Amino acid sequence: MSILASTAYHDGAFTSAGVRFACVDGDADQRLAAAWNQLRIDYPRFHRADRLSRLLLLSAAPFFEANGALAACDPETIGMLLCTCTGSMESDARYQALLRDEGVASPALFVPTLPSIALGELSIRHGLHGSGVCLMMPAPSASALAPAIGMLKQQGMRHIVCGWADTFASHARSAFAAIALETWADTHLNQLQSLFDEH
Amino acid sequence: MSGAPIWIGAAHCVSALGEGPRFHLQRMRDGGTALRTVPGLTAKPMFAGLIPDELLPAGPRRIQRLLDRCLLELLDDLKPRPHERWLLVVATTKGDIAAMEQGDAAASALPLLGEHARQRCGFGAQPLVVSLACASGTAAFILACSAIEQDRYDHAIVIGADALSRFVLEGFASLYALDAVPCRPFDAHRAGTTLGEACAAVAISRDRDRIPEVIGRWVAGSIAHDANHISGPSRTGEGLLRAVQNALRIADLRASDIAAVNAHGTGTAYNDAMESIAFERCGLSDAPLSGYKGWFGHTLGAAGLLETIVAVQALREGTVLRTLGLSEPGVPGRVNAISADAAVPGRMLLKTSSGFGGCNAAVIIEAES
Repeated sequence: MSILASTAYHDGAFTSAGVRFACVDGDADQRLAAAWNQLRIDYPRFHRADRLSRLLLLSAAPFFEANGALAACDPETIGMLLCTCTGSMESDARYQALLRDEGVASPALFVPTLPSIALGELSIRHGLHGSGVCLMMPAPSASALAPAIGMLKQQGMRHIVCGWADTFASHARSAFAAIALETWADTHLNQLQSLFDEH
Repeated sequence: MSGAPIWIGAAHCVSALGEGPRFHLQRMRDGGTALRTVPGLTAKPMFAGLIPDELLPAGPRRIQRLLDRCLLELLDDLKPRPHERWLLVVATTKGDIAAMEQGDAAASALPLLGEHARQRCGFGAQPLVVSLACASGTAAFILACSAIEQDRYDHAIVIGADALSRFVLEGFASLYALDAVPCRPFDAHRAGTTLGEACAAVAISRDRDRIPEVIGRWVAGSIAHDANHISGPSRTGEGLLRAVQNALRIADLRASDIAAVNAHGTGTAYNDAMESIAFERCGLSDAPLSGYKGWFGHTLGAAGLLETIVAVQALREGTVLRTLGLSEPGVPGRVNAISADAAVPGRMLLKTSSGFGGCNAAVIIEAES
């Protein structure tokens, strides 16, 4: 098995290892917080991170928990591959609204106006020094990710956190996989696409 | 994996300095900075590298005009044929962020920029749009070369672009990351970077005869993360150290094989300090090192490609161009930052980029004589 584990989040419903948690109350941020709290992970930085980063931190968290798919892997060889359409648009809109309405640029709101900040947050959370890249695409496409997966393998990554995260306004959605690259082949791309399609 | 060489050529670029790699090289040898105070973009005028409007083709969106400026020339050179396996890789940090400023959030989505470029190229395959902060251009280059090495494609166009915007200028100003004068990378009195806009593009191919004017050969590349801080680089250069060492390992090279280093060199206190420490730790203290942002500014998603093109062109002629704005070196790591153009005997270039989120990218290219 190359896809070791997977998670999915869809506007309040978080699924990991076949267990589903659903919270339909509140706005997108409150639902995301409820899903995170259900994991009972003590990491206050989660709540200070931007929305895309929180979505990625939540989606990847079960992989690194005790007995998680990547818990025993060397963090130096765990790569990151994020694909998204809206990227940092939620953060962009918040920063832009303050700049437009108050004439003030907030450094705290400016920094997360890059989608790859989410990779930075994930790398900090789990001590991942390895390779990683963020690809912008209109919809999750496993075949479009194939060259990047190959690149991460070329650069010595043995496992990757790989998936789709998208959030803007009231919408937040993700589908992530923990993948072992040693046994990975393009023939597994349909399994990754199925994960995207299911969620 | 294929061990066949991968060639780089058909380079095009446009920045505040002007248009074309040769013109850039000439201006950088003989002229001064293109950085000027730019009125009207921000509440307080700032130094920036603004492309003269007459250099860009007509069009409704500035970022598309930047892309078109390079793409149309590149396509004219290449004339891709339908049966060929071409990959298109686009690098940007903020794409059409001006659309967000104008109230149209949906139009600012970065995949739309990739789609614009794909339509210009007439390619059927979905483009890869890389957004890895200020390492986007370098990372896009690595991804394209890797895709060819993996035998997924035979040729690739890599293009990086970002336009100046109030959104980004005010953001960098809010971080106190902009110098009051044109940036001074690696100088003791540096006080921040200067932003610019640019577009830069290259063609990459396993078939040397398929691309005009080969400028270099791809050797290796790697990306690594600091895992340390979101908006500040690692004080010990952990990510950059790993990116450079991994690129050297993949290439089976030693640090002493590197003829010249073209650094990210933003001119901020922390970036340049981090780079100097990482390069010293990599054993690159003696390699001539320069950063080019003093001429055309920090061009964000275009920076890695633009600076690579110019550095490779210079190295083809046996020189490393100086770091404009550097008069008194002042970084904690021992590096050979040069303030005057220097002749070098080798052809192996190391180009690095680093960005918010703690990302770092390193590529090694052998300049073609």
